[in-house]
Amino acid sequence: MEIVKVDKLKAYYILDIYGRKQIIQAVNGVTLEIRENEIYGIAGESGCGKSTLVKTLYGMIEPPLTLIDGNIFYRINGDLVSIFSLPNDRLQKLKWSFISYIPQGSMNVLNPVIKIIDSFWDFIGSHIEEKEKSSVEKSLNDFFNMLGLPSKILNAYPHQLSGGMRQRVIVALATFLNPKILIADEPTTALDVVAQRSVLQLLKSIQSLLNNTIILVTHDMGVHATISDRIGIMYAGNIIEEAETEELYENPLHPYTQYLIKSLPKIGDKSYKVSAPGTPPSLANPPSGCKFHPRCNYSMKECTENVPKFVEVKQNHKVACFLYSKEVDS
Amino acid sequence: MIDNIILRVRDLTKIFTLGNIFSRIKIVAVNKVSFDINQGEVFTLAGESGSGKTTVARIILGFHEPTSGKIEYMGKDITKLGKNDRKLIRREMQAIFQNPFESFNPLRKVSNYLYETLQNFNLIKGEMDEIVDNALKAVGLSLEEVKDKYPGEFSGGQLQRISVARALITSPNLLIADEPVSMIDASLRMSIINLFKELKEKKGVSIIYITHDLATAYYVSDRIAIMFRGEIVEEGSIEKVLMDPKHPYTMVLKESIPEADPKKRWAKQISILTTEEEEFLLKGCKFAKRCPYKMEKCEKEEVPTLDIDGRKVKCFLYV
Repeated sequence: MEIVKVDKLKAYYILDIYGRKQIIQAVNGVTLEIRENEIYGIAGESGCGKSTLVKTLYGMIEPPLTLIDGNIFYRINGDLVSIFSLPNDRLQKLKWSFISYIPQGSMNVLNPVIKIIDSFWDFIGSHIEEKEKSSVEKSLNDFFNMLGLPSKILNAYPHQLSGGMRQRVIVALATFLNPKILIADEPTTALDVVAQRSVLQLLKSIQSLLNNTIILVTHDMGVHATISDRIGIMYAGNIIEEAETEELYENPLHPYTQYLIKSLPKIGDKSYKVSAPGTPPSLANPPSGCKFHPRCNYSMKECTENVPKFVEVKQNHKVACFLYSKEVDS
Repeated sequence: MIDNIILRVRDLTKIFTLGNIFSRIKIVAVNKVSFDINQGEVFTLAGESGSGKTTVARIILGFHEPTSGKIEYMGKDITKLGKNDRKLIRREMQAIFQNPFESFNPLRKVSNYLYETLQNFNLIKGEMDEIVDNALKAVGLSLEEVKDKYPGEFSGGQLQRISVARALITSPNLLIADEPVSMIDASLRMSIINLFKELKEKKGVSIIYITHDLATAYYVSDRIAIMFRGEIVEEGSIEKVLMDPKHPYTMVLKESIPEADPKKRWAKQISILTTEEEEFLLKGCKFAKRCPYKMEKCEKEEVPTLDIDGRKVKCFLYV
């Protein structure tokens, strides 16, 4: 069953630069269903709108980011509820207890002059009563032990920990209240491979322990192959292909996804790899029709005129490309 | 074979001192590093952050002075050069840095950098446009596309290609590329890597490729050195080191790369230490605290570098 439903979501950055209006179409008509108990990966290049998409999913829409159209539903106690219909304080309460968000670069969010446990009280203060503090501290210790993190680091200062350890602490803290959904935006991007592996393994073990849903955003296709169950590929503000991980890697349909997957170098494989020609489009002034057509080898006349609809062409495999379906997005 | 070596690094050591006059810690950022670069090869220096790979590059380029050790370029020691000699060396040795958005001033036209490089090295009076155009053509761009444009008008991949073009203007013999693709998008990354391959094959340029990404290293290089906490722990041909690693650290590193193949997922959990500083201060093998094959002497005695199966390994396991 789906736990998050996104319906034709459009969120633009509306900028006013010295009286000149500029509109960045960061999320442009995304339709998406994320199921319970899965790791859903969102992949794409920088500037394709993937961070903006998860920000809006979390309900963090602040100017210049503006909601233009569409809706987002959470499944709370079995009912689909539109997050835009909820009052602000209700939405506030859902954060960390129903949905957690680890933004990019979050290993640097810890206050450097206080201990990690004190930062934690800052984060979680609105969810617990003062008198519960000691019992919460005990269960926090247990939670850390369960995840294989030394609980003594709660009494350390951030600078005493390596980047990988800080990132794992943040992941652990964000999941302490057992949220149903965890959004992780590039959780391993600034980390070395060994530290990256430890963070990904932590995410995976949290997911199997707590049975929740993780939305993982990263540009690294290797990370997605290792951990995601289903993947959505984003290009220029929209999801252009979605499939289960193995299907997507074995049988990519969209020409962009094909470039993305075939250009990945692997150890033990010296065959010639090519990257996609051209450069990603500017979201302030995107091309007409299919946004990939200026870089696409299979570009046809209709690609320049109409936007292909995101349709299921195989079971559990959706793609927006005229090579597979002639349906036009209205 | 001997004439083929263009750069010889011997026992290079760099010690940074941290703290104030009351409390000082000495961090050995680079510890007795030795390697050779042959003409026309791509040599990878790989390692995690804090392994000292960038410090080695900066010493070779002359941005830092080494604490001890020698670097010979074409048989000539280049660690203590005067300003003019350094300039001559720079003509043959050019650098490409990680973040192309930081290497260009956003308020200056990109082509100015190209012309400036020409002027700095008094290369030519006259047909400057032609030389710049040729350098840009070598990286798949042209002067027409670049002229009168500012850095903000290019994508990261294009800017990085312009950085490579700028480095090519002096027809260098050796390129030092410090994480040249880690800021570039996945769909454009291979175009830069292929460019390095082409430079090596067509112009015989030697390249020191510094990276943490072993997959691109495998794709482009001939030889590799794996660095850990300031030391080279394994060095040899790319096939031998990456396909059949001998040092326990290389094994962990190779195993930890998330491969773009959903069928190969990790089976084992790994452990990492809470702090890095402890590892720098270890006397013996710096990897000892995490090593699954640790012996008693590893933490205490200095580890010898051994020749095993056509590569160099710094580990007691093979004594």
